[in-house]
Amino acid sequence: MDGSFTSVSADTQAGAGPLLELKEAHKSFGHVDVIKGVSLTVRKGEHVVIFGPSGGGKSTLLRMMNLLETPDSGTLTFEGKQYFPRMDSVLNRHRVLQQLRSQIGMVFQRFNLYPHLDALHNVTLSLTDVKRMSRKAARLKAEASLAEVGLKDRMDHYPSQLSGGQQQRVAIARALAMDPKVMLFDEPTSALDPELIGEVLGVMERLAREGMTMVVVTHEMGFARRVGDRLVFVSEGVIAESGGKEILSTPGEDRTKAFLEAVL
Amino acid sequence: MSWNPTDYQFAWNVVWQYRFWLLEGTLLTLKIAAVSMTLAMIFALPLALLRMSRLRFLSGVAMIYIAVLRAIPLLVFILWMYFGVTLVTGLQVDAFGAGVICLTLQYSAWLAEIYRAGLQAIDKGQREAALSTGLSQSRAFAKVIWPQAWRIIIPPLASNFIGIIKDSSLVGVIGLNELMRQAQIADSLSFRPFELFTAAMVIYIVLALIISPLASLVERRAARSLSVQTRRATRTRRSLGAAA
Repeated sequence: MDGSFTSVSADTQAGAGPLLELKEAHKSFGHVDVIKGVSLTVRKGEHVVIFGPSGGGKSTLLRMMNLLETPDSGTLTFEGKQYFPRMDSVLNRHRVLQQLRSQIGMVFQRFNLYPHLDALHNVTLSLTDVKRMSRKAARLKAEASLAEVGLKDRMDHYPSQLSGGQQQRVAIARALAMDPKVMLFDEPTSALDPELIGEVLGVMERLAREGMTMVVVTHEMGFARRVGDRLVFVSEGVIAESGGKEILSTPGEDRTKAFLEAVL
Repeated sequence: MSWNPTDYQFAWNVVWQYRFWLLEGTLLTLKIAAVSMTLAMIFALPLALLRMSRLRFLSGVAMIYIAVLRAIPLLVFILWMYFGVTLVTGLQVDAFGAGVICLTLQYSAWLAEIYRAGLQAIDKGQREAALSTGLSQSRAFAKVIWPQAWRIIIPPLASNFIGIIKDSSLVGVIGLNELMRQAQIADSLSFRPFELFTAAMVIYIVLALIISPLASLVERRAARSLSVQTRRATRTRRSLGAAA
């Protein structure tokens, strides 16, 4: 696993302007209020770790950031441009949404690789389709991405021929190849066997060191401590507590303390 | 005049005698089935998508259409399409067109439900992954959802193609000389129903038996087209590697 994430070499200093900003977001499914007024700002180069009990709204919160989940109310701003509520005309709407999503990489709990395509074509699909790259350029770009996650020799393997850890690394390469400005991780290691978690976290930590802006929903508190610039504890649809690594050792809220005692 | 079954003497040479009649009928049967199946396969896709629409009105319309068209007895449908339309409007309807329309409409309703089952079998995470990389809804469907659903759909499509071949025998009632009607006409001239209908049956069975390996071939090709892509990619990589 050599080479570097050249595309994200700049902008490593935290404290730069806000990249992604969610304000007063609300979301309910049926009668259940999943997100009850959450505001969260992600700055360039920042590594935000979201943790908390299951069903607390962590995934929904993350999925609002690329509008896979549409908030009921609130605003979403990315690089100063408001994407929700939508400002654009109905005709333009899909294009604007695509434009937002193509700049935000997402990695899912269950990988969601395309089973009918090999690793290489899992990565090239959006390069040729969204970025309009030529097949050859897309292939080179995909090869570079797969090399970065240590899978250059598995390019012609189908997802079913790869281990869980390898599949998740292909999924990371797929997101990375688009040169995203921020990467969202939705419990990326929760579906993995324990011995495979390390290889995925390793790739993520290296990404973080290279300066990639990241928002990670995870139960891996060791990872949170090593990588997180800001830790956000989400419970019952609100941010119950947020701060630096110190909230792991000296939580200010009883709910945070109870949760940490349960998982650590 | 009474007919004693034990007196019946089989005379299979009648089949040979009417071989060109049966062949002509077979060709028309295949033509009707192929045209109707192709149209039904095309028409079923928008129908399935409408049925899956989140808009209640659209999915409701599709649901009613599917329910009604599946329920109509095909024979009555064909009679109405051919004679009924003429009775009501005074327009002369083309028999081939009427037969194809009926088969197409009824089979599009069956196929729409097969498509829906295939499409719904695909994990919604697939669509989300595609959308999250910036693919449009339609591209996500064309490049990610449909290729996976297609493989699930092929085997039941083959069953329906066999079904449409056999159901096409019903269009004989509006004067189309497909296989079954050709056998009937030959019988009315030769008074040899068992030989001729047995011959027709054997032809239907052979046609059905040909479909299965054809379907497996299509299925394999769906898989192989992907591995060809991969091989091509591998070759290019090698040559790129050699150049570097």
